[in-house]
Amino acid sequence: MTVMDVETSQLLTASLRALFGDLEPGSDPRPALAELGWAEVRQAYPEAATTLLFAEQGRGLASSALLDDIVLAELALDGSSARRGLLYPTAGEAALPDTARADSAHPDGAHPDGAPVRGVLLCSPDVLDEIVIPFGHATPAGAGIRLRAVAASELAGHARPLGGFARDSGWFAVEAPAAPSGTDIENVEPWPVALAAGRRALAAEIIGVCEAALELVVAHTSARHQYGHPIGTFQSVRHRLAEAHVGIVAAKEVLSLAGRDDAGAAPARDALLAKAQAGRAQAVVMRHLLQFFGAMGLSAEASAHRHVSRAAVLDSLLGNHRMLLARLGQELLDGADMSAPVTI
Amino acid sequence: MDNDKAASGGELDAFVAEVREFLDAAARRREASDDDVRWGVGSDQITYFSDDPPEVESAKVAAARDWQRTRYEAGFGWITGPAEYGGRGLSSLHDIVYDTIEHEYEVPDTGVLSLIGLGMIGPTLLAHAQEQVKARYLPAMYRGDVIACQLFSEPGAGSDLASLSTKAVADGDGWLLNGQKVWTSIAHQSEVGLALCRTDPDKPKHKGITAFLVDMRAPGVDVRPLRQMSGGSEFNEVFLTDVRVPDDHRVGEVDGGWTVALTTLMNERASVGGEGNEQASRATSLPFLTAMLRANGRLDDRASRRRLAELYADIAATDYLNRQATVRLHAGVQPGPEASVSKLMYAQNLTRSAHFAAEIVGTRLLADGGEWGTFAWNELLLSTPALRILGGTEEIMKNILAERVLGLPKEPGIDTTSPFRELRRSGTGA
Repeated sequence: MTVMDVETSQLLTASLRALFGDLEPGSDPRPALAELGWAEVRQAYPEAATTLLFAEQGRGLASSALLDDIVLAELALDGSSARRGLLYPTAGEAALPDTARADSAHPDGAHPDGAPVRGVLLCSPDVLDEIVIPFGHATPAGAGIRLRAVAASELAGHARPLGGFARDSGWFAVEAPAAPSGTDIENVEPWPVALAAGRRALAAEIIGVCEAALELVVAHTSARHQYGHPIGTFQSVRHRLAEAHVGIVAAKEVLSLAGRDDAGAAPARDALLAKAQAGRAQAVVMRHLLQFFGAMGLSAEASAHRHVSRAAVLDSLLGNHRMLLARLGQELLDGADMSAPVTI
Repeated sequence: MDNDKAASGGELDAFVAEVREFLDAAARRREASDDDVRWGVGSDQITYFSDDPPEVESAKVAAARDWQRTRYEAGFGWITGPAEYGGRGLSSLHDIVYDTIEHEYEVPDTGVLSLIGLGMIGPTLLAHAQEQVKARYLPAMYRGDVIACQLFSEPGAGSDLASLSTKAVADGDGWLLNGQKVWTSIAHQSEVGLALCRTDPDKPKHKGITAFLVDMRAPGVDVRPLRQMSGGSEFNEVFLTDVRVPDDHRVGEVDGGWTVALTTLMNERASVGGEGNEQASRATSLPFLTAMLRANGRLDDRASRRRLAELYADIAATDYLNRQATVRLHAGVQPGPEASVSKLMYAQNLTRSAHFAAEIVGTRLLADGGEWGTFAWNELLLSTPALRILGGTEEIMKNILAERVLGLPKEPGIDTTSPFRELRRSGTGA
């Protein structure tokens, strides 16, 4: 893998920051990225480019369907002229198996026909031709996955914009009582790799949100005076912000670990770890952010809450940190490879 | 990376061959089973701080010195050091390669030399000492002849190190030192110590300190052991009474000791955060903790599983951070404030592992009922609080991160301008 030098990384970071800074809320960054020649950057530095892109998307609190491009590329479903989107399952753990077998040969695996469809779409179904739906399930032989591509129009009537803390995302909830017929995708072998790539991208994005949030709260606590001093001079405040920084560093370290491709790498496990660690970091950063903004943090007028909501949305996608950690713990106890991911 | 250039291709291969030839002749290769962690097999002892009886401790120190001398004579004692002081003048990559290969062999633990002397005092002397001291002590330290300790903390100066009050007064062609140091690890094993002393109480506290290299065997140096709650005794209090130090043993400028101290402290954070204790590392490794959960029938406990995974994630993060830091440190880059992150994470991991284990074994931690892997956690549990204090308390680490990394404003009310003698200090009655 080509390693990106510091200078290139800084240049690209600056371009991306400007790009997301200029982006109208809710609009698609893809045309601007194409103008930037992003496809070539990604070709030259596949992992580093994705990390930078998602970190900056996070920092800019932008919401887009860029994650689809990452996951679908790994599934080799990005080539055709059809506009495709992935449906991100929200049906719990079984919907997201980390390992998957091409189990069309296993009659005991649940068949998509008649199965309910429940998930999140990163754009309106109206701008898509096809939606790729993963159906995860348990079989006696282990976790299995099926992928079915259906016409987007089939699900358009079952889609509504996300509400709650995701209401600004521009994303859609899809809930259909039974899967429409479509094309079953034979090759599901790359699923674990695609899932891992998606989780690494989300980890980078969460870290971007966290870094922006930490800068925001540092600026606030440096400027806000009480008892005659900036509140950031009080140890009860500064120590928690230092802890937030430690959490972000830990998340970044695990993400770099997950992005390498040497002999010790275990992509699925390492990506799960990276997303879980980023999820833990956001929990710490956002707790302190809200506390130190005081009531202003709860107000829609200040921007602090936008970081909190965005981080919560990203933590939820492809498995939140508590679920991922419980799963990893289970795998460790089941005898998964427990050798340290790092050997010094 | 410059290292790649410095150690490209065949030259590095030749170095690897040289290292293997040396180690094959001088040490036994570790058996694969040596690294196995098998629950219930062998000793279940988990100590972080040594509590060996004096004769065992002396034998271990002698073995450490011998092995360091053997390394040195073979050209591996100070791989990155300058040749004029007995170093090999090679790149950090060579150093890492050596460490990695040596880990495959059964060799004596040289921590008593490396953690403080070679990890902290050596780099400080190289950066600030006068020529005579560098020429005399650096080769001796890296050859294992001289162990060095750090005479910094005092009863009245802990986190606020710059408020120290041990005095050094000019006396003929040298200096006379008087005062008390405390929490001095391995002082009783050391030949020399780097002492910070007050040389001008009329200047602000940071600007009237001078550093000296003190002969620990000189008249007037009195080392007394301190016992820890974990049972061991690794550190001491050191009384200095009219101790004479020649001026060429002054390190750095007169009243310039704070600069010298900062070099040591930065290396200390890197040293403390980066190096683990092998026994504690094994006990808090995932295979060991997992085996403990299994042995205690806690496999179905979802909360325990999640905590296990959290430890795994944090240990992975710390290891990776330390690996990057090692690369930078060996490349001669002065450790920066990020070393504080590493130190906080390391202490947190070990503390959480010990608490996790304590929770699983429950009340069996109280009395030694002979059951393997239960009471044994007792000592680690009593040792981990020290990790949050030694080498700079967690509060100090967080202040460093808050100011130097995050850029938060300085704390109010810290006096850096009044003369030292006008400051209120602990232990002075002022």
